[in-house]
Amino acid sequence: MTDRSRFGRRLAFVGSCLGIFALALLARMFTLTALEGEHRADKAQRLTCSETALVSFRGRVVDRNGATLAASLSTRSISRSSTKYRYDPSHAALLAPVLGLERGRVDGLLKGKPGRFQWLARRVSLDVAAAASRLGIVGLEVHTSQSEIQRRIYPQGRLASHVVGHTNSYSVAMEGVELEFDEYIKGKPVSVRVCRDIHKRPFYNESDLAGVNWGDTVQLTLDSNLQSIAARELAASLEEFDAQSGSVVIVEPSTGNVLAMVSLPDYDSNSPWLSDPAERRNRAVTDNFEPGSTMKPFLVAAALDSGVVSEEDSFFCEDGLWRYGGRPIHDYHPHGDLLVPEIIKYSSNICSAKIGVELGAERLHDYLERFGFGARSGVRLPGEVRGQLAAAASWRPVRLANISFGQGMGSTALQLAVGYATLANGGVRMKPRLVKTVVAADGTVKVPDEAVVEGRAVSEEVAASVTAMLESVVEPGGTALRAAVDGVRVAGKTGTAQQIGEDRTYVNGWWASVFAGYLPADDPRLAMAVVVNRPVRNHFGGVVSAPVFRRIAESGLDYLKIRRDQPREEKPVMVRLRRRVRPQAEQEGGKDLMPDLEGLSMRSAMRMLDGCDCDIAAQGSGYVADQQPAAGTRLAAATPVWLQLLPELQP
Amino acid sequence: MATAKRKRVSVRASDRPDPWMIAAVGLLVVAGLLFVLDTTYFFSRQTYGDSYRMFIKHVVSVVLGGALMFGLSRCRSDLLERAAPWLLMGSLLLLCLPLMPGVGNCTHGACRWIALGPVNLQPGELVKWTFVVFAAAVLAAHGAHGPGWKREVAIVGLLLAVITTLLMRQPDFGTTVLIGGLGMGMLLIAGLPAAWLVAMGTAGAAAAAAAIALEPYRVRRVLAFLSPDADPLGSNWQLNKSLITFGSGRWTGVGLGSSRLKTGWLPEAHTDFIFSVVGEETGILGAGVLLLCFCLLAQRGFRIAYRHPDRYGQLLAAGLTMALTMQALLNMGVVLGLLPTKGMALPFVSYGGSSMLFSLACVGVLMSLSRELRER
Repeated sequence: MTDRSRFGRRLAFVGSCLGIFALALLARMFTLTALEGEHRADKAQRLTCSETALVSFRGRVVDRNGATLAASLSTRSISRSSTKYRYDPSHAALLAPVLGLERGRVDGLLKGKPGRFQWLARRVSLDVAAAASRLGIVGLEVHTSQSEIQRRIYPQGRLASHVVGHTNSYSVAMEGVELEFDEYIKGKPVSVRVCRDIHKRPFYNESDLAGVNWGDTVQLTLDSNLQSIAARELAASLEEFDAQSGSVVIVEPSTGNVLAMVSLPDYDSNSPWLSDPAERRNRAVTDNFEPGSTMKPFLVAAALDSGVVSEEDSFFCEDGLWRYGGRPIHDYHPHGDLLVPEIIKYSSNICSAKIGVELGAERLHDYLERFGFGARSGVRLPGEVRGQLAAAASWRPVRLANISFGQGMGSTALQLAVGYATLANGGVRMKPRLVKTVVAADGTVKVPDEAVVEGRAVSEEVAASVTAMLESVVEPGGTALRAAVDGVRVAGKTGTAQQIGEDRTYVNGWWASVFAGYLPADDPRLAMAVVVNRPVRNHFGGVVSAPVFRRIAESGLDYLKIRRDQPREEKPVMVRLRRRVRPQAEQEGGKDLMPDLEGLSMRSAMRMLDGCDCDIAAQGSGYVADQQPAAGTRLAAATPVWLQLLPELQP
Repeated sequence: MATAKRKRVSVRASDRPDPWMIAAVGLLVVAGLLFVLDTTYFFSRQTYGDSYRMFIKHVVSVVLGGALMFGLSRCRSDLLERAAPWLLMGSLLLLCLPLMPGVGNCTHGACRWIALGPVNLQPGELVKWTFVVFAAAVLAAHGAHGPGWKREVAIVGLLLAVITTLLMRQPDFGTTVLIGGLGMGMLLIAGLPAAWLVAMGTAGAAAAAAAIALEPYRVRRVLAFLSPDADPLGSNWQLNKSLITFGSGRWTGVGLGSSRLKTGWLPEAHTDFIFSVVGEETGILGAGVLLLCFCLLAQRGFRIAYRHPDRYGQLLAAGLTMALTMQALLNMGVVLGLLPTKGMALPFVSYGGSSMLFSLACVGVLMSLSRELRER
């Protein structure tokens, strides 16, 4: 048996060698999984990013002065994990200040539906996300997927929302310039690895996101201040006349730059889902209306340019009723003989029709096309319509007569503004444009700042004489005295046309009140079309739309520092040059009295009012021009304080 | 026992083979089926356009191996003893075949396979088995040719040299090391004096060192093993991924079928590194159970060896047990980064017909030996 026991000893030796190695393996497994497992699991997660996605951060949209209209923020989202999170009442107190939410609300989010996934904050800034994850709460997740890494913001909200457009929550362009210039704004997408967590939810690696490009900056020709002025005045008019909708387009005649494009009602680009489709429509380019009498200048310009009539010719206006082509044509005020300029001034339909008949369908159609009617302007906005201008061959005599005074055809507000800008620009039509330049993040210019000439519509002399006629419209005796601006010569024309309903006939009481014009007439800087749809209290273009034109022009001229011949006497808008703020203590009367804020910047004014328990409202931008209550008034708690700010002006 | 061969007791049908060993091997084979399906699913679809093709091949080898095992478990061990020289001659002949052009089938720069129509035979796996069968016969005859160990050492040493040379021509370093270790182990168990063992061990180690030094990729592997954090994209790629895969399983794993790195990240996930995937999907728990199965197999195998009435049976049982468990432990050591990387399958679990076939053949022989046990 010694052999067997020796054999047994040797077997035991080999067995224990194997056993020791097995124990070493077990120890190694323990260190790999239990001690370093988390680290290795992280590595595995970083490794297993087998998909890719194209990602880019959207560039900015700015106005012509560089003010931001749309921008993207780099963001993260924070959620509560479905499996790892364990509720603790102390978490809400930690998280609420970081997320900037109410404590009770955060507590509710953390507590409710345990074991379910729950968003805590969507698309918050990187700082907030970092601060939240630094709290060390187990089960809080920071998300970096396509929909969570950027947020589109529109600092101006409703201002120019139709032009700028909006994106959906995935930062995908949906409307406006955002959509039309998406290829630039979106930038060059970078391929980023898409990783999946254990629940197959996608996420991106932070290191990959650091290399993602920003899109190009699109600079619009819009001027936020003019846009704001136009929107304010149009809204006031809609309110005053209980109108359904309206639009204003301001074009710079020499360049075709669209300085303002307002469509009301409007919506907030930050929350497009809260609005109706009707509010999201950019009426200035998508809506046709019958331009009515505002077409007469183009008719006269065509007739003069083609030599069919001269300024000295006169026409008999049939004392208010003329039958032509089997249909009656009326004038609102009956006239006898009128010279051509007077036809414009008094807006006679009958004499316009007679000029149209002299001119003929072919030539009128040709000239209207030259002014830009019946074709898309090419301003590059989604949904722009062509307007309505039937082929000349199909015009029966009554159609020719109607089109002569702007009926039986359709125009957009933009087309009308472009037509007037053409007259203002000495007969040369510029292509309207909304985008001035596109500049990449590295400074390279993608789209240069170039005005495009579309062609000459009429000769310079004709444009000048039509301008003179249009000036007479705004003079006493004309139809648009309410469009007159002190100290500046204004050229313009009213228009009032019935609107067509769904049954394709005119609807009683549905009017489009139109005013179009430009100023200063001797050196036009602004061409403007104002359209108010379905006003209730009054419907004449000269009553409803002309004052809008005047008010926008007044504020606009001041803002643009366009010199007027005589300063208005009743209310000087001159603002003292910048004033430096004096310390509170030096103010006479102490802090209970309203200080004199005139000429101060908003920031300084706020400093002066610091410690006053009053309700401050400010209008406009720039420096304080007017204040309510007056300096020296005693301020009680919650006194309403109103400040009017205007841009700095030369005295 | 030392003088003459004893009359063998015949095997009776009523003698049951060791149930614990069957349980351990059965569990390993089932785990192997599970994880081979798991790890080949994508790879098979990519290479063959059929997700189940490799799995079905694996099932076929399990069935064939099972039949071989059953047949051998019915076979008396003294028949094997008599057939040992012929088996060895045959397997050595087969071992030469992969080196002949037109017959050999090479992948990853190694010619280890003989192409037999739809299947490839890996004679290296067969040699392990026949070497043990033959060496046990030689060592069991110790004493019959006079005292001393010269004859035994000479025969085993020569055999090792021949096999090693042939294997290194393929080259197959893993199997070489295993057979070298196996030879040493069997000599140790057979009672070779320590001085002999030390001398042979030194010679073997020197040969191994030379083999490493002569082949640049082996030098790189050893260097990579010694500094695991250097060059993670090059020579340490596989080991790195293996450690990440295994470690990310934590205690209970990410769940069966949920392995993230099996889809291309971990090379050879279905063969040599299947143990990492076991670790990732079932955690330290599942991996520990597999390790335990091999330990149980070793315990049962050594128990059979200790209790077997006959010298040849003792050595054969110990040798086969060592062959299986040493290979398993070496494979795990490589996967877990305790040993330098070398190609070696995990018995019963890894994808690969030859390995499965001859591993089950070993178990078949062990079963037959266990049926010959008698109460003493």
